[in-house]
Amino acid sequence: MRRRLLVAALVLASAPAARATDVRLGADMAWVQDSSFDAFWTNDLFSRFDVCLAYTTFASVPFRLDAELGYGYAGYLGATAAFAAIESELSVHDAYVGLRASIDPPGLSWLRPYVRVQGGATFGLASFRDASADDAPAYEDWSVGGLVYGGGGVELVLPLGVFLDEPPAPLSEPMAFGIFLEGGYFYRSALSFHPAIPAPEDEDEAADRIPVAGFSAGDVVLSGGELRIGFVARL
Amino acid sequence: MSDSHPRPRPRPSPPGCPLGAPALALLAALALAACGGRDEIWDRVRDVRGPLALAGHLAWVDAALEELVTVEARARDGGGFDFLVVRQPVGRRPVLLAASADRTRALVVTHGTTGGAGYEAEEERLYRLDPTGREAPAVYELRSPFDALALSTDGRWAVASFASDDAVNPNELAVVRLDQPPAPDTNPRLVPVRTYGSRPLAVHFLEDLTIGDRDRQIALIFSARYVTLIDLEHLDRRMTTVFLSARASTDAVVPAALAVAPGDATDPDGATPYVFLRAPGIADVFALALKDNPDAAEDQNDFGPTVNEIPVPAPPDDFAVFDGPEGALLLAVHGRTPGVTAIDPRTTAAWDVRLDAAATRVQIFPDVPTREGRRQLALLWSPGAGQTRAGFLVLDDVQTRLRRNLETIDLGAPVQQVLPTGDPNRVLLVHDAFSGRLSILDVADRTVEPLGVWVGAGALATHPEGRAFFFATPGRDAISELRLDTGHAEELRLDAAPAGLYALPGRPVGSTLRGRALLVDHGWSSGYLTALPLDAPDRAGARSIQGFLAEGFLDTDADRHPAEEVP
Repeated sequence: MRRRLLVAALVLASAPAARATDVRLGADMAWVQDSSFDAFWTNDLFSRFDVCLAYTTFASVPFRLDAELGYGYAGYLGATAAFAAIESELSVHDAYVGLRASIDPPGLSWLRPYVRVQGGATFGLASFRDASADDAPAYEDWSVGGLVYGGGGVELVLPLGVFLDEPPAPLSEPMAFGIFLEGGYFYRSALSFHPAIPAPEDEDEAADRIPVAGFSAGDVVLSGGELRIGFVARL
Repeated sequence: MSDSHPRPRPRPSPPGCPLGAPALALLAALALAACGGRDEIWDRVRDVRGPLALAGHLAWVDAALEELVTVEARARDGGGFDFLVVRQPVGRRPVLLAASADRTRALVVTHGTTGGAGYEAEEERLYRLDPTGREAPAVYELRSPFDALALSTDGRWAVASFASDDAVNPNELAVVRLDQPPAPDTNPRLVPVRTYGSRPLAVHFLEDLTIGDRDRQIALIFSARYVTLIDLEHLDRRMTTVFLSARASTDAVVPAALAVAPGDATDPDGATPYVFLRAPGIADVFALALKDNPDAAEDQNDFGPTVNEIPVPAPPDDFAVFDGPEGALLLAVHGRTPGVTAIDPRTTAAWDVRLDAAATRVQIFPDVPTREGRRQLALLWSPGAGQTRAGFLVLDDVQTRLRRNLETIDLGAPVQQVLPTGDPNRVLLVHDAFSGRLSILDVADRTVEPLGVWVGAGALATHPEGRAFFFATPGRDAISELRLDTGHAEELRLDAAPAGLYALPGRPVGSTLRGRALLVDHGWSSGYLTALPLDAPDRAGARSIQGFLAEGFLDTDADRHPAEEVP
């Protein structure tokens, strides 16, 4: 019996599986509890749009390992720090690569559990406007930090082949569409801002200005537990 | 298509899988958990007091964050400035910001909290802070929510009192020795002022006042109908109350101002100084003679006042002390008559001089060169619209010459303010706020020199050594400098309109003066200053700093301000 199982496992492991290219569009919601995030938003929910391309680098039924390349964006963040009379805005751009390991449970082709890790860079662009001075231009600065994400979830997909008794090759497995749902933890290193009012574009005017020292606004931390939901297209 | 064809994979279940509902529930739960999580501090209303000019710093109290913010403009060797911004925590609910007498320390009164809502209970306090942040602050426990602070000119004493009407016991004072460290129960010392139907309205200091043969440190407390004398070095002794009107009288004698005439230290009986008081609507000058009383009991004051009520033709609007042949005399000016009255407090003799032009202010110039030699001179003027003339009264023999010592000139325009210059016999006249004109008045020559500078409702600062005046006109991105040695006026272009000007003399550090600069505050709530070389302001040497009042605001410790504080 043991011998049979071992043989079966070896057969399964060596069996070729279809390689795929995934496109994922996701809405990510992180629960950011650090107080600095309150400068830019009125609750702790940090929502983000995410697009991710994945390509299967290793596949062996029922396992698959995908390499990922993605981009995330949050650009609507804005709030007022009443005690400082500062209106703050923040946009965040994430670029990352990752690995996703998934398994195709036998008999459940619509369900694919997975785990993934991602690493990359976060680019934050912040502006701070003095709420008391109508004509005051905004202080601006950008900052780059690192990001690491780890999480797991499930894909609920509809393989297109199921609609056809004998799908033509282009629609055969793995082409599928569905949704995914995952949870994880997103760590971003602190984004540090030292904003200043941008110099005038005109060179002569800029040279004529009295030299100005800006200030350190401090750090914003955007780490937190995250829930992701979105659409996946497997080609 | 045939059923006989093998299916590539088992058919999946319909997409409406059973995980959908829990997923949505999870999402909703996360959203609910995340909402409403903003820390309380971010919604606190901005409350910033300042700026306060110190010797080498500008200081603000950020009452929302409960911090003192100081900025020093430190001159670089090669020109320009570096800015040092320091934030220091103070106690709960700061209400008052003041400067020490030498302006090297900031004083902050806080009202503390009774605790609760995440806060530990904290007493009312007086903080004495080094603006550089290098020294630990001295923290004096006031133990009552005082909202007024009087400071002696020598910097040694502070008296905290109640200015608002809602105090539980408005007759309580806290006496603080600022030159000594805090000590429980003794520094500060809470002192109840004996009350006779009124409450302390103002606190004045008579520091280093020689009575008999000894210097005394006395606080003089104004109340309606009486004043109270407190020997600050002997707070265990009974304080002395001097009534200015009969206790049964319905006349409300509310002292408004004082002038002090020091006693003659060479007097064999010891020095007897005089304290003069005036009260609005009362046509009297109250002269308090403070006499030594070495035989007093241990718990009694070793000095005693006697009061003389000296009538004058009309309620005095202002007064000043000058030197007479037998000792100090008082010159009281009363605009209603119009006239002035010279008073000898020792004899209560008074000499009235009728003026040609109504005056409500007097300023004494003690050493003015005249054809007859150096004389004491009084400038008599009246602020406000309508009065363009001022009187000059030679004081040295006014008792005999009376009006013959008076000269009246036209100043050319009404005067709002008279400001000192570096020259003791020249003053700056700030004319009416509408025109904003300025003039230099030469007291010796009795000449008025109009300046081609207008300030209107703008800002004004004086060079600490009196070499120049600095002006800012509202809405103009510039300041003007008027040099008093040459009379030359120069305009200096800036990048933003000034809201305030501060000529800081600098704090001595070794042989240098740190923070010596002309600072222009542009009035932004996030902070915007331009620093200029004080002695020779020029644009090339200017540097600005922006946003310093928001320094580090992303790093605000929300746990330090967990909720609205309980008074």
